[in-house]
Amino acid sequence: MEHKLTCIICPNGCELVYDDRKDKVSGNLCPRGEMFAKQEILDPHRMVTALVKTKFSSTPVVSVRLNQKIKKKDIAKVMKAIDEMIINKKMKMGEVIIKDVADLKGIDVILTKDVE
Amino acid sequence: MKNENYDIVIIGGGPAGIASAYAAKKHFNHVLIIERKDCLGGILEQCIHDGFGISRYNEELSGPEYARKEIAKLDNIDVALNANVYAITKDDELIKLSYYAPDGVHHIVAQKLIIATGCRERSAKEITILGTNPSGVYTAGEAQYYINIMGKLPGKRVVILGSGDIGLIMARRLTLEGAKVIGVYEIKNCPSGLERNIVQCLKDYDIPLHLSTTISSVKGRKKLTSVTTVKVDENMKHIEGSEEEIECDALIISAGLIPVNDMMKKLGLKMSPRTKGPIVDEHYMSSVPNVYCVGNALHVHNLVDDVSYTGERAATFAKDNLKERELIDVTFDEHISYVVPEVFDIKNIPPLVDFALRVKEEMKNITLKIYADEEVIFQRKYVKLLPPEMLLVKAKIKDDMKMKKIHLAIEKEDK
Ligand SMILES: Cc1cc2nc3c(=O)[nH]c(=O)nc-3n(C[C@H](O)[C@H](O)[C@H](O)COP(=O)(O)OP(=O)(O)OC[C@H]3O[C@@H](n4cnc5c(N)ncnc54)[C@H](O)[C@@H]3O)c2cc1C
Ligand code: SF4
Repeated sequence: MEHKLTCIICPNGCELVYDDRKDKVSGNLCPRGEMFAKQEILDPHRMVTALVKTKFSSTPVVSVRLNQKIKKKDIAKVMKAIDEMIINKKMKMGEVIIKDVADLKGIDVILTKDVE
Repeated sequence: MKNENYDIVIIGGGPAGIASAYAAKKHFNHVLIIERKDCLGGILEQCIHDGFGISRYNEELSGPEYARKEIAKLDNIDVALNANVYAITKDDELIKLSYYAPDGVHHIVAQKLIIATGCRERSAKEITILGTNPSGVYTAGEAQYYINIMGKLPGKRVVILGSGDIGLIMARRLTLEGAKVIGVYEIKNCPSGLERNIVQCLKDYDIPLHLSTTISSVKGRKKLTSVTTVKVDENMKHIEGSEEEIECDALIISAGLIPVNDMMKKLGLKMSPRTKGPIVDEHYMSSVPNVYCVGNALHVHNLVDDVSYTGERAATFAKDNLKERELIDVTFDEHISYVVPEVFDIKNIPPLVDFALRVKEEMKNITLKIYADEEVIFQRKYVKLLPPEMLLVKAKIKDDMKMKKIHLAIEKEDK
């Protein structure tokens, strides 16, 4: 079967076609598109960025992201774990605030801002 | 009154201004950035999603992370924060400006000026919606600030008007933070945001996109209680009988961005009706010599990477002291909605020229060609181009090449 999809890796937004019998991708301008198409059909992954509450009134929330993309179906439980977290000390951009979030091995939540 | 002298002053400390500053530092001793807010980074501070820096760093960074990497390149550059420029003039040679900051008033004299003041959103007032004037109506950027900086949700049941990228990104953010986004309504028959944002912000979360549909009125005494949507025909006229009332407590308007032009107006720069920014040549120089413009203040870019690039380029061009200019208009065919630069200085042609452009409608299997007189100086094939995608191409120019005409054309492949 042929699957049509838009590559979301970069703003070029190539229109990809994945033929699952031949395991072939076409329409991609670069190799990242081929990897994206195969993964998107078999097991779509996404980056998650989010906000974490702090107890400081100057920065009531700080932004975070994951250290790598996760399965789309895990987004909700990761968001829930992040939502339950409150930061109560000064921390720096790049620091890990939750390791193995929502019991996902190797998936960490990292700060993308300083907590001041 | 004491003057402070600078070789080059940059107004605006977003990514465009930051890149201008560190590139300028390679050629000038005294560089000053003047920023109105209390920190550098511009709008990136509130853009917490990823997707910044793909071409510059080969990483998908969040806005604040990208800003941090760029700010780290600033070395030995003066930065004035919380600074408001209240007067600015240019005589034959020099730029004179005055600003006040927490430490008092400063009078600056500079050889060169780069304007990097970014863009602003079209406000809710610039779009006509009938009805009451309740609270609960936000621009997408306001909603972004409210959620990402203040940590508050603008509403629980949200309607989004306009399919610009910030609106799409906010649709996803609101959903992830627990609000219900009822739908995105776009008056045109195609989305104005990038396809990748339609996929990862709307389709991923089953948020419906209604094309050729707008909002005709809002209801609510103090707080917004509902909006009425209506379909439009090819001429954007409301189709009677297609109205639908939707209960909601927030309306977010994502109706496009326009360059911030107050400094340009004060300096009397020639403005472009197409981009709403100033008219510049291939050195990013405006109609006023030694005044340059970059980033979203020049025209609205999709990618922060391209914004930083324009800053670096302009600052590098600023080191040349061009005496005489001879400007011709850059021409382009009917498939293109605008090209920057709009004019070309044929007396001082650099070895590499940047062209930014957008197409008017979706185009498939085409070739973009740039002609200098009759000679093709650049060509590239594209499988598909869409109006929301800004194209930035770089054309090499042969040594001593002379030209009297520059023309951009989109040619369809015969198949
Ligand atoms: C509300 C909003 C949200 C956006 N969200 C996204 C997004 O999610 N993703 C994305 O890719 N792009 C987004 N953009 C586009 C984004 O603006 C660009 O990618 C990039 O940040 C533009 O860089 P810039 O330096 O040209 O402008 P900006 O980042 O806007 O920086 C301009 C700076 O100039 C300062 N300034 C303005 N006027 C003066 C003055 N008179 N004196 C002194 N300083 C002044 C401003 O305070 C600001 O710091 C958004 C734009 C807006 C307006
Ligand atoms: S295939 Fe490559 S060039 Fe095309 S959108 Fe994907 S990442 Fe970008």
